[in-house]
Parts: sequence; structure tokens; C-alpha cells
Amino acid sequence: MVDADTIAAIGTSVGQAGIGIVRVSGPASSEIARAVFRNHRQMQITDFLPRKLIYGMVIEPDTGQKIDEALCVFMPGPQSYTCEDVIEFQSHGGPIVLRKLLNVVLRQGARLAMPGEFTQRAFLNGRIDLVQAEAVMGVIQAKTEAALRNATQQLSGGLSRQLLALRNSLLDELVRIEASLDYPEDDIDAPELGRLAEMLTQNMQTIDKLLQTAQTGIILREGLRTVIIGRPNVGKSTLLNALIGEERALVTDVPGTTRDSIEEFINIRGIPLQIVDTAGLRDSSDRIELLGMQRTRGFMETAGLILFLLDASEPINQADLAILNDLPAIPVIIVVNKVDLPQLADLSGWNELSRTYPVVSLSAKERTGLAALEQMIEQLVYSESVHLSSESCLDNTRQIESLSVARDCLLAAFESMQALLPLDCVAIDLRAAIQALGQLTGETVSDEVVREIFAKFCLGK
Amino acid sequence: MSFSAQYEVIVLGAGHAGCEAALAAARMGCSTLLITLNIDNIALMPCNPSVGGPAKGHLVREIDALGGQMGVAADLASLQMRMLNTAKGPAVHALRSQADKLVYQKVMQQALYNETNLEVRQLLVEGLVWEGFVIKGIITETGECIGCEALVLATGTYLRGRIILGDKSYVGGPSGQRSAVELSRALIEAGVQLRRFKTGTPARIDRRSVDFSKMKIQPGDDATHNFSFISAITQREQQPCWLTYTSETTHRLIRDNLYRAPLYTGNIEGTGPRYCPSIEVKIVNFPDKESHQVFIEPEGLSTNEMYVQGMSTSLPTDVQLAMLRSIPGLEQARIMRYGYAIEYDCIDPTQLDLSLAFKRFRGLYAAGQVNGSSGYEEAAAQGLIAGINAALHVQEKSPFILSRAEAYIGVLIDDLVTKGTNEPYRIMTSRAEYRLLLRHDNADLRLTKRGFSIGLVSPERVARTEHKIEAIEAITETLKRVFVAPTAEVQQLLLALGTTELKTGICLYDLLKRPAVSYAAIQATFDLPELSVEVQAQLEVMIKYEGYIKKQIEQVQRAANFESKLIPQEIEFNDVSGISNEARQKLSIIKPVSIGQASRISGVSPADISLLLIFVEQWRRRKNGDA
Repeated sequence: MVDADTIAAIGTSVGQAGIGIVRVSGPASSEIARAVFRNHRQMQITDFLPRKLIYGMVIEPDTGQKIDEALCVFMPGPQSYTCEDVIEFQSHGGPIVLRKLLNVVLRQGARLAMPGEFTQRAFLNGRIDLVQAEAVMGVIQAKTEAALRNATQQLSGGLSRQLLALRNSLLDELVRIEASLDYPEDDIDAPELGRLAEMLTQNMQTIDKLLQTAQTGIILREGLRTVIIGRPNVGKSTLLNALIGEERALVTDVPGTTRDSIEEFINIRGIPLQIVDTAGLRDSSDRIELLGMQRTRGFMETAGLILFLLDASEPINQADLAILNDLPAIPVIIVVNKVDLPQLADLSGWNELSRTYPVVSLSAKERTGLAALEQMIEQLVYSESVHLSSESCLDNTRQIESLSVARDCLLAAFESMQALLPLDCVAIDLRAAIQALGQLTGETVSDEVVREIFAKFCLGK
Repeated sequence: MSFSAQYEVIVLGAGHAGCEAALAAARMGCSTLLITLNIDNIALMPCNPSVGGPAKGHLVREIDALGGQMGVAADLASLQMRMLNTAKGPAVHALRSQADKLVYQKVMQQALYNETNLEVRQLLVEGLVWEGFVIKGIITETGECIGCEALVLATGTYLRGRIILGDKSYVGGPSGQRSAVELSRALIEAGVQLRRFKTGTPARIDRRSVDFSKMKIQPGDDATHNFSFISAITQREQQPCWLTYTSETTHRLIRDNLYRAPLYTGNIEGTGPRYCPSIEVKIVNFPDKESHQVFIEPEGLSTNEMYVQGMSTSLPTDVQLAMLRSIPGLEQARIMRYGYAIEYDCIDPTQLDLSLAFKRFRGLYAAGQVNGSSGYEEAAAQGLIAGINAALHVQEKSPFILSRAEAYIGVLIDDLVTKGTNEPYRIMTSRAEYRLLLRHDNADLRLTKRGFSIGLVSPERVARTEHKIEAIEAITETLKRVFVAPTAEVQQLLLALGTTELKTGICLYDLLKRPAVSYAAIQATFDLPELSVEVQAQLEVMIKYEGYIKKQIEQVQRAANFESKLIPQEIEFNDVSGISNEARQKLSIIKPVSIGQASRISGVSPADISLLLIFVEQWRRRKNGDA
């Protein structure tokens, strides 16, 4: 029993290993490898010898652009883990590289594997035994539970709103078409072709924009967990606002305004950050403020990166030192803020520190020097001093996959309209597009269409 | 228990489901008894005098291709035929026919009476005879016991039927008939779960009291159509329908009298269909709509009754008359029969498997409105399948099941038994995911052989279909072979057809892909053979929509992977670990036969399916004793 579709996934935990593997399994594996892999002379390889490692590079077939150098191995079924034709690409382990590599493979017709699906196939094809199968079920269960927990949270608020609006607009058109097809004798307005074409174009543009941001990662709900800490009124909220470019955190001159923490999802040079603005750390007897500070310490423990803020306009004090001595063993960037004001902080005694931690000076209020901070974050990620979680990369890939499928469907619908094909054909593409988006929002389409038809139109005799 | 008679198959109810069920069982060689409450009301159309429409017309074609009777009867009884949706794509083209109700009944009665293995009797059934979970026969109100090996329930709206009209209500079936009250109790006692649905019908008015000059005429098509692939009717005199609209006064009258409407006073508990709303529901749910269409349709040539489509109601009789008379053309209308609502018992269809057999019993089948569907066509389709499977059960053969990719009948039955329904279920083209493959024009190509395999379709008919397939294949090959050069003559022809000139030479096959180019238009120019209308139509659909047909075939193939993974009957769904409670519960009730069917159950997620797949494989290995 061989499955009809070909699946792919990143087979190693992203960012934590020097080598990363993208694994492809299914009947189209070797075909995909032929399309995306070139040997060291940049020639296409027509014949992959079984179980022989080939050195070469993975390219984007449409543009010829090089993704990364890689080793490629072909394991024809049934002599493979899944008993299907399997291709593995071994490349550098960086999260961005692996994601690009996986995306290239997916664009060639593979489908992103579900949790545990390689092992599931191995089992269903008679490869592994019952005991191992139990383990697979555990994996599927655990991942599914985690996915369910995160399903709605995985999408940032803005994104889920956009997706929902997108889906609703498509569903609306589909329902209009379906109603007119199923009720030709009722007096309902026929779908207006000009408006339909315009809607398709608009939604394609929306998806394009989403895809652009998705490519660079902002679409992630989960990102590199980055915690901004510092004593009160050092400018933490201002820095957050500067980074996200809008007034999100409440900023005043009164120390201790941010009593709870604020989380935002931003994208810095292609790196998704889940950025947390915390309550300032100082001695305080205010109970609520104390609670806030307690939480801040909690955030520090779970952070992937800490931005430790100092105030350049004030001398370094006990509160700063207390935080410094309390820093967990997590990558830290020291951010000297308020360089627009007269500088009073004497950083000479911190020289040793600057050897331990990178230091960057900026003015969050004037938004100067931010580029240097962004560059520093980028360097840390690429040098793999900090790690992105593999799950978040996969989620992102899934989102890109679904959005791309939806976009392809809308384009097909649009082209069919141009070719004067009837609306029942257009409906096939629209339905497929909504289905693809439904994989992100977790909704199915079939029953909903019927429900909506009767909610929207007065039909029937 | 001593039986006065013994049949292989008994069918309870002689409506649209019962007639098809009885005919199918008898034609498949089973001694069959069809029981009805009233022989004069066989194949009665208690509601609208029409057959077909989108998806419903598809069902009729499919019934016909499988050797059923509805298509032939509808063709003979037709007062008017129209092809709907012609401006839209081929998937949704559909035939609709106005039927002469009395002729339809007569035609269907003739078919029943002419069937060798079939007997028809007028009886009221009050009890069932069981041997454990195996059905053995029925008991009538006079105490007569009749034995059977398989029983098809096709009780329509007659189970504990209750008619509601204004503040009056009484026990009864449609059109003043009896209702089967005791049978409901017998089913509950046996452990069948019943529920209550509601439907309704508008008033019928006297043709002579209608002023047609104030209405828009709705004639039939000039071309003569037939549902049946074997009907030879080439000409038919047609009766028009008439279109008018509700007025402001109509809406005010209804709103003013809502306090007397059983739907809103709580006098009706049953769930009504959304797609067949009564006029009071339409006014309440869509208050902004200033006017609703009203079609006046003839019920037959031998009656003065006209059906007022769009005005289904259970309002009191005085309101019914007043509101009809507020409609242009109906100012003088005389009502011959009042509209009414009817509540009835039906079963939760998830108690059935895909062959329409009850999962917990042996030999008991159900079809039609009793399964929670509505519509003559939906009923007939289920009746045919239930009849076939009752016969196959008697003959100890495996059941006949059509898939969602094969037929609307497959969609209908899978929807009912896999998803269940909370309201009377109506088939719609939007319920079929492979709509472009399930066209009404190719029902014969899809199903004739399937009908032949169970003995319902004659060899002549198979030959006819094969001949059609050969003709299509031959002409397709020709069209692919013949190349057209961009000569002056060709360019002129193309411009005349309203399409653009050729840039390079192409084959005729590709030329036909252009929407403006039909086979008939190029036939003479390129010296192509004369083709029958059906072959031409088939050819053009296949060429013009080739891309989308391919797309849908690919969708079917992707799904086939799941559909072909069967779940052994012995599996205990309660033992599947890791899946959600809702999924486990639903799986235990529905007992899907394939992973594909399981995946369509609401509340069963893709992850649940993954786990189920592994569970099934584990079970299989344990059973085979390998690790």
C-alpha cells in the first residue's frame, strides 16, 4: 500500500544542529529531487543512484537561484524508512535555510507532513512493529494536543483577522454562486462577473501581501521569545513601541506604568520575535507592582533573548546592578537608551561587561540607533547563539503552503473567468481556496456553504 | 406465529420510495409485496406537481440509468419540460418537468401491476414480527401476519402523521388520508430512534378563478426533453405555468396574523426544512424582501386544481384566502384545498448503513422521507437502493453501494447515514464535491453498467450505452487528428462565430475548446460526421471542460486513498486510544466502513483519522498474529 501523495518535512530540530535534514517521501520524491537539486557542476541529475550521497546544491527551479549547498540521497522504496521512495537533503542547520529548502520542495508538489506521518507510513507499510507504533500514536497525540492548544494563538491577532476577512469574502462569493446554481428559478441576484473578478484580484493581492510577510516570518505567533527588562522608566515600553512602530505599550514619565507585561509579535530582518515588555524591576512595596516584577523574573527564565535596558541620562544605580547580577544564562544584549539626552551614565566600569555582553546605544524615543540593535539580533540568530523553535518554523511553513495553494486556486478561478468558463467551474477553485485557508483557521467548507445559502437568501417554494 | 403468506421482500408504503423499492426487488427476482394504506394513492404527489430541478433532476437520470421507474413515469406524465441553468455550466444543467399528477400515478400503477413478481395490497400495518434482531414479518390492523426475509420501510410522512391547519390539528396523512400510529410504537419498542419533522404545502386553487392576464407566462422549452435515456417521446404538447408576486398587502396580512400561525404559536414542534419555507417563515426571516415570487402551476389536465408554488402555509383558512386574494391575478381565487403543515415521525438516518439497512437489525431497510429526507426524487433514489439491497440480502449477495464520486445517489445516502440531518434533507448540487463529474448528461455512462451488474438493466440498454461511448471515442480521435490551417475560409468562419482568428494551425479538438465554437458550427466546414444530439453534447462538455474534469478526477483519486482503506466490522471504536471523546462517540454510532467515510463525520479531526489508521493496522496485525 503506497500513499498517493508525497510528503516532506524538516527532519531535524531546527537551529540546534549543525546539519539539517529535509526528508521527502512518496512517489514524487525523485521527480522533486530532479527539479530542485543540481550537482557540483550545476548540472541536473537525471538518475539518482540508490543510497549514494551526492554533493551539490538546492536551487529554486523557477529562478535558478541557489538556496544552499547540500548532500542529497535517494532511497528507493521499499528499502527506505517509509517503504516509499525517499529523498533526503542534508544542508546547513540554520532555520531560515531549512525553511527555504522545505518551501522549494513543497512548491514542487509535496505536501507538508503531519506530525508523526513518516513513522505512520512506515508502520502502515509494514516497516515497524506494534511497540514502535504505540510511540507514533503518542507523538501524534502530543503534537495534536499542542497544536489544538495553539491553533488560534498561532496566528497573531492581525493575521487571523485578515485571514478571516479573506475567507469570509471568498465564502460570500461562493455562496452567491451556489445559490444561483441550485436555485435558478428564484429571484436572487446572479453573481456579478465584474465584481467577482475584482474580488478575486483583491484577495490575490491580500494573499500576496500575507505571503510576503509570511516568508519573513511575521506570520508566526511563536517567535524568538525576547524579553525587555530594566528598572522602571528606563524606556522599555518606548523601545517596544519603536520596534513595532506603533503605540502599543502605555508610555508615561511616571515610573512603574507597565505593571503587567505586554507581548507583541514582530519581525526583524526575517526573524520572528515574540517580544515581551515587562514591568520594571526595583525595590517596591506596591503589591501589584511586586506581582508584576515577579512575573518579569518568570519571563526572564523562559526567554530566548534578553534586552537589558540602561538609561544613559542617569547614573547607573543599585537597581541596575541588581538586575545585572540576576541575569540568567541566556543571550543578553545591553541596550543603552536615551542617548538623545545629556549622558550621565558612567559605563567605564562596565567594560568587562561589554566583553561578556554586546552593547548597543540608541534613542527609542527619537528612534535612532534601532538599526544597530536589529543587526545585532540578526547576528545572534544567524550565529545560532539563540535558537528558534522547530515547531514555529513548521507552523510558518504550513501557513505559507496553505496560502500558496489558496492563491493558486484564486488565480485559476480568475483565469477561468477570463476564458469565459461557467461559474460552476469557478466554484471548484473557490471551494478549493476556502478549503486551503480552512487548514489555517480550522474550518471546513461543505456544510457551511449550505447553511449560508439559506441564511443569506430567501429560497425555495 | 403463523403467516398467511410469505414473501421474500415486503415494502411498506407505495410512495416514490416504496414504488422504486418494490419494482427493483421484484425485477431482481424476489417475490415482493407492496403494502399501501390506499391503492388509489399509489405514487401520489402530495405537494408540488413537478419532478426534477438542479440535483433532483440528476437523481432522476441516475435512477433511470440504474433501471428505476421515475424517469420513464415523469416523461409520460409531463405537462411541460424545461432545461434549467443553460446559461451556466454543464454540471448544473438540469431538467425540470411539470407533472400531471394523476397521469403520473396511473403510469406508476401500471408499472407495478405489470411486474410479475410483485403484488400490491391495501393494508394498515401495526406491528412487526422479530426473531431476535432479525425481521420476520408484519402484522396488520386486522391481525393478519405476513412473513418476509427483508422489509423496506418507506412510510413517508404517514408515521404518526398530524395535520396542522391554523388552530386545528388532527391525526392523518397527506391529502386526507389515514396515518400509521401503531407502527411508530412498534418501531420504538424494537429500539428504533424516532424524531419529529415537519413539512407543508400551499393551497390549491380553481383554474377558472385565476386571472392569467395579470401574470407572466412561463412556457416550456421548444425542444423536447426526456429524463429517461430510453424514453422515445419526441413531441409533447405543453402547458404553461404562470408567475406573479406577493404584494404589500399579502405581507401585512401575514404579519398581522402571525399570532394565529401554528409555526409561531408553538402548535408545531417538528423541524421544518429551510429550503422549503412556508410563506410566513419567509416574511419573518426576510423582512426586507418586499415581494416574493408565486408560480401558478397546473396539477393535471383532468383537474381544475392549480398549485400555488411559493405560498406553502399552515395559517388559518380565512387568512389563506385573504392572502391569496391580495396577489395580482388571484383577486377572485377560489381555494379547492387549503394548505397545511404536517408533522411526522422519521428515523435518525445515522442508524442506517450505506446500503440503507439498519445497523442493529438484520433484513430491515428504510428509504425516503422516513429517513429524514424530503422530495420525491430523494425518496425514489433511496427506494431504489433499499429495494436493490433488500433483494441482494435475500440472495445473500454483498450490498450495492454507490460512492460520492459515482452518483448524486451516493452523495445523498452518504450524507444521510454519515452526517445525519437535523431537518428534512434536500439534495443540492453544492452538496456534491465532484459536481462536474456527476452531470445529468452522463448518468448513463456512469451507471448503466452498474445497473446491469445487479440485473436491473437490460443487455440492450448496455449495448446502447456502449455504442454511445464508442461514438464519442471515435469522434474524439478524429478531432485530435484533423489539423486546421489558418486559411481565409477558416478565419472567416471563426469571426462569424464571434471568436478570434487563428494564429497558427491547431487541431479541431483544440478549436472546440473555444466557448463560441460548437460541433454543429464547424461540422459542415470540416466535413465531420453527423452525430446524435447526446453524443455532441457529451463531446463538447468533455472537450470544453477538460481541464476542470481532470482537476476533479484528481480530487477523486486523492480521496480514493482513504475511501479504499476499509475498517473491519469487528473493530471496537471505543478502543481507539488518543482520539477525542466526541470522535470516539460518533465513530461508535456511525460505524464507518472506510477511513474515507470516517473522515466525513463531523467532529472527527485529521489527527483522529491518523490514529484510527494506525489502530486499524494494529488490529489487523494482532489478528493475523504478526507483531
